[in-house]
Amino acid sequence: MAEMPEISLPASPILEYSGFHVTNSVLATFLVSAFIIVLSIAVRGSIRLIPGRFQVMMESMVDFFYDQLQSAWGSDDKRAKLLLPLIVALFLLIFIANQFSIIPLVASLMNEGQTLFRTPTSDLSLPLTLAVVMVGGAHLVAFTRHPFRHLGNYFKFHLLLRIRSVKDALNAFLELFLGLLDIVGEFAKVISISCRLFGNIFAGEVMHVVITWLTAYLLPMPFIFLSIFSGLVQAFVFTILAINFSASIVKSSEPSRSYS
Amino acid sequence: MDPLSAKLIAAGICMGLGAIGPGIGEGLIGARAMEAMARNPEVSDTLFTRMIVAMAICESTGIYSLVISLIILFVI
Repeated sequence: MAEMPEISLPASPILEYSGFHVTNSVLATFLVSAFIIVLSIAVRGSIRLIPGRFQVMMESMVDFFYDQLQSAWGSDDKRAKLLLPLIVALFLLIFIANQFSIIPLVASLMNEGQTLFRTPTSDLSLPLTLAVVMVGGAHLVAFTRHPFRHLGNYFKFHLLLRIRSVKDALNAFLELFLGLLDIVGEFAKVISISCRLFGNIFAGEVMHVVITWLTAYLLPMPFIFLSIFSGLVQAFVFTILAINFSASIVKSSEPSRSYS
Repeated sequence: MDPLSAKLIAAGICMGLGAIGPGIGEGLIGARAMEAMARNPEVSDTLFTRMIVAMAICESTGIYSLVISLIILFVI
């Protein structure tokens, strides 16, 4: 039996330019970005009043994320419209990057004994970067708009000033402790959404390699189909969680509006 | 015990124990979602997307153990 192909967890560097390593997953990310740019120009050029099949698909995708944004931001239409391009671009990038391994020929190009392109999301750096940008960006927005209120969600020292009795003191210390625990929770959010995407896609790749090594022809097909489906679901889940996390972070720092 | 076999056993135990919780959780989510869809078929579209999201969140502990067993296998 032939030797099993090598599986490596970190992406392998291809080029080096004055200390910066360009890995094979970064090259693949550039390819995916170029594909998205070409796709969006093509879709934009062929918009008709009576939509074709492809246009209906794109429109329903944009519409779905618009609905999700509206329900997350609570009928704040302006912000939903502002964030829509970012969210749809995030979804498209992750979705197309997850399906990278099913592109024929491109995925098997070799350079000095290692593959030239690698599925971008099967390296932790891309999911981690996207998660940090979404969650950290929401924190940055919340902090620049209402700095004291935002910090007050985590460091609840103002509750100590309101102590009137022993029961109040117990409650205040409990709240203070829970607020400090929320800081850990923010890091856990980033780690959980990035590791979920990375773990699913990398496991799909490993399963693909092992199954194609063990069997041949038609037998790997159900597994490839399964990894395509899980790529779609994970792209979807990452985007929805990013919407909900960022909305909850920014909304918790704002003064509650009176419903009049 | 030589280190390679200890590594393989550790990865196997990690993945096997980590898959119990998500299995139970996803089963419960699926069962309840089916029940709700059978009671109220009009909302099955929104329920389906929410079911998928809840399942993916429930799956995360399984994914953590998967990542750890992959690290045990390929990095350490």
